[in-house]
Amino acid sequence: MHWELAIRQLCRANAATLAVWLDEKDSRYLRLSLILICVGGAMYGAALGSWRGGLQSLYVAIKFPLLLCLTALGNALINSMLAQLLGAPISFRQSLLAVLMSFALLAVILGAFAPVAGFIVLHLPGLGSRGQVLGYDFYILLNVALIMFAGVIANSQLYRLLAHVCKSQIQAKQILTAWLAVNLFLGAQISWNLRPFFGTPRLEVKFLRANPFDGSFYEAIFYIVVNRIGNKNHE
Amino acid sequence: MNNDDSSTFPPLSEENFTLPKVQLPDNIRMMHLVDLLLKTPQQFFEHIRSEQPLLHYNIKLILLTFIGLAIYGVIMGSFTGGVQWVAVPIKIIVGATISALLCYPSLYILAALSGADLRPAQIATLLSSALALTAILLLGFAPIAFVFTFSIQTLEFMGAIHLLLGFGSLYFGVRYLAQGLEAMDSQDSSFIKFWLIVFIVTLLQMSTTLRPILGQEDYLLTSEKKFFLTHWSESLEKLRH
Repeated sequence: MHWELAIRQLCRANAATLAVWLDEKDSRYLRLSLILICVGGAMYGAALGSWRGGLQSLYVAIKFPLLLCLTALGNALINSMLAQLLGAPISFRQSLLAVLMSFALLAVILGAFAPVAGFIVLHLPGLGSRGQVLGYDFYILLNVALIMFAGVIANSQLYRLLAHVCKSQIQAKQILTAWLAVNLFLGAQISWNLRPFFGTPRLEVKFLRANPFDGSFYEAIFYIVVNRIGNKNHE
Repeated sequence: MNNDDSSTFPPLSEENFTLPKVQLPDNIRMMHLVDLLLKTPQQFFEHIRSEQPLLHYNIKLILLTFIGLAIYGVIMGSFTGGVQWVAVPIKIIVGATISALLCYPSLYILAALSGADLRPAQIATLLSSALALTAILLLGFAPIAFVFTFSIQTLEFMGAIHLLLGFGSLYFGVRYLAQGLEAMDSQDSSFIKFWLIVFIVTLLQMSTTLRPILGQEDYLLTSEKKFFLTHWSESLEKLRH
């Protein structure tokens, strides 16, 4: 299939059309979804990392698609089990493809916004400049808003597809919620391991932080909360 | 599989697609194109929708946009005079072109997300015609801008007038774009509204990147990076003192 037609079909999310993707026995749609994740994710990653310069841009262009692929592949088995447990007639290959298609749409949307995001980020006050704080805050805000927007769209399109495939809308909602929960759970941890993505201004640019597998996202959140409460009690 | 698919898009019906079927010539004259954009955009939407070659139209639309922006740019440049008579039209044309190119991929994806089934070339024609309409309207506003140019003393107020006229023209350009997408199966206008925000932010940043557009500096272009909100707050600070 022509890549441009595939992108249009993914975006328009006509459930009957996308269901044909799921029913296809060969692996071309899996490959196509992976290619879209890699290309779209790399384009957005390059824009995301550009605030800290060319090297960070290159690193994030590699890490962002990696994060999406690792999350989809890491959860492939449990996603398939959850779908079957909740009564959906979806095989292992189909559940993996459905999640990859949703991630591909996310990557395509983010990739489409990459030129604008890169242009804006390049003109924000840079590191060491007078408006560094404003620049960093706006940079975070812009990218969080973009990722949220793309995430909401990608999941709502995935829901349309699930609603078409499943017996009832309730079943589709349950499966989507379960998939979202496990994807967020693993995705947060992998993004922690693969950090930095945004690049904290006081830290130097690196592909991975020193000892990237020491600690976890959830421990970090726990200690932040505990420290905040401790500080409040001291005050 | 569930055959009752409420999420599929409805086929074109008489109700949502009642465009007059008029065949447009391949070699259209410039004034005919202006008439078409202002009076009967539906005919042009129909032409875009039919799978006819669009390259000839695109070239004329781009030319129309450049002429409109160049004339308006000369009026803008007249506020400062000197080298700005030439520099401002060039900067406006370059800025609008780069902004459109930067925002084109997101427009294509958002149009598809809204349900419009359009090839990249069709979206490009829709965008170039919306920009051409905006440029035509700017040309219409040029005499008003000209009057203000010779009355206003402060750079910041002149900037505000140009922003007002620019947004006025852009409103109609984007309205045309939204109508075009609607005529081509788009189901949800919120996507185009979101794109409008992205496009306006890009244009505003571009105006800061290509500074000075109004006023005179020692340089024609600067490599100093500046966010447009920072630039605006600094300009307002100067005005206060």
